[in-house]
Amino acid sequence: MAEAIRARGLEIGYELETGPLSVLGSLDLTIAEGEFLTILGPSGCGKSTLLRVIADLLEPLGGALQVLGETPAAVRARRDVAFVFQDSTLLPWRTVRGNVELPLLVGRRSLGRQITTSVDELLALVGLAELANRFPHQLSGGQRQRVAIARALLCNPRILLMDEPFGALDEMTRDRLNDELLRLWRRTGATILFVTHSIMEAAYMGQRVLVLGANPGRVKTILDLRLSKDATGHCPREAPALVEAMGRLRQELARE
Amino acid sequence: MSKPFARRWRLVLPLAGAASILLFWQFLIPAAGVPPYIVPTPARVAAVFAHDWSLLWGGFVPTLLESIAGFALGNSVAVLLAVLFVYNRRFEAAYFPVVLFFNTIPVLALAPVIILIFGLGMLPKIIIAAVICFFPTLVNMIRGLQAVSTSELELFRVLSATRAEVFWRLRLPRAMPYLFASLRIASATAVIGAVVGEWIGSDKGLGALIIQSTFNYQSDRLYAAIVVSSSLAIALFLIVVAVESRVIRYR
Ligand SMILES: Nc1ncnc2c1ncn2[C@@H]1O[C@H](COP(=O)(O)OP(=O)(O)OP(=O)(O)O)[C@@H](O)[C@H]1O
Ligand SMILES: [Mg+2]
Repeated sequence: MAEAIRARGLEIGYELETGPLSVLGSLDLTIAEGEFLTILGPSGCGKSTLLRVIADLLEPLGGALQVLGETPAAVRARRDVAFVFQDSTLLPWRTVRGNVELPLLVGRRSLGRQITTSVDELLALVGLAELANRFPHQLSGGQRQRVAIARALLCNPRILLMDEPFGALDEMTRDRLNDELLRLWRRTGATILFVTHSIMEAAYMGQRVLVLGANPGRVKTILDLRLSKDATGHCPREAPALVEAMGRLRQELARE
Repeated sequence: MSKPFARRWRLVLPLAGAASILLFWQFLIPAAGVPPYIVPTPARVAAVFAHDWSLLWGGFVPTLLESIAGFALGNSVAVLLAVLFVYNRRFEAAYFPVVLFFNTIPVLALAPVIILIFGLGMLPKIIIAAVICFFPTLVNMIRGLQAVSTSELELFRVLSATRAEVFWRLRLPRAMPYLFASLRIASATAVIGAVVGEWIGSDKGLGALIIQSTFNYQSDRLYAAIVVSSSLAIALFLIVVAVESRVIRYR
């Protein structure tokens, strides 16, 4: 399979006035197209920073990064990458429909192709058909994240970056949205990078789990769960293999 | 917890409250021996509306025009300058302190200067009204245009939005609640500006009417002019609120 992301000796961080601040260094990572990768790690280890670099919101400090075989900027300009933020980032003055349609409204000049996805179909897909004319403040947290996901899917992105998308939701809503997202992933075949703080979510959602450590930021391990899951990437929450994986993830996180 | 008032009480009670005070005033003032040329009774003020209607109307029209023109001018300049300041930090660093200093000059001190420069027509009153509206809108608009979150900017960047799109689709709608907060205030202060301008150099408008009736001990006219000018401010305020509810349909 083709590579969605290929990082070699990648160093990421921020250019401050006092000089560059490295957050995560010498990162080697290859993610295949269509993979579901979850990213787990303590606060401040650079998970959001990594997604920002892949989305071309931030320049890498060093090393090489290819997204879909190209530069992150080229992929962003084509809308082959989409971002879902923890706080959903809906525009309060636009309705649900208006928010989902935002990608049709801005940045079209660089797009260079027609968007054929129907907004109505997309709204039905995330279960929001009836709420299309509501404003964001009239939605629950889970509904808001569904809108954000629908907006991200509008351009049929090949890579979907999700930064703790369900972090602020209660566990029941989160479980339901987890299953919906897996369904969307199978349907779209997109590559998903999914940051989470929840060990359960990381193990349940990911085909592989990237475990990061802080101080200094580094890759601790990549746990491959594909053998524990069926062909569609599914594995019941209470399956022994998943429980065992969660135990290993917990150990990795605790290891200095 | 006390039960909320039924809707009609919410309208009836303030009216009854105002009526009771007017009634009290109507009978107390003569009883206390205050001559009507110092404080008129409400009935005498009402009589001005009946008999001197054309006088009040003649004062009302120039003040109305000056207030609206000043409101439009002051707020437009403030919005444009806010956009310039937000998009050009050097320009802001150079000129915001000047604007800040300008704002510390009391409008009563500034008014004669403006009258000296622009003469006695309507223009100086419009400018005084504009000046008094200008600063709150400038400050609020700057705050509003900057009230975008990091993730909103990142969202627009992932979508490869142009600078113009970020302005029209993000910063400007974000700033609307801030803008209207200051427009509400400006609706009242614009009238104050126009009236102050008329005090200093005019024989037209409600401000001139206030000054003339004060010097002539025509207290009933004075009070009627006060009622008209505050009604004007209330009307402008209500127009702003109505426009706001159409522009900001969420929340
Ligand atoms: N804009 C910025 N400028 C400078 N440093 C930053 C900036 N954003 C984040 N950092 C620093 O970079 C490090 C990594 O931040 P990042 O947001 O990637 O962490 P994270 O793993 O996403 O944490 P969390 O789980 O809390 O979201 C942190 O130490 C943070 O203080
Ligand atoms: Mg983060």
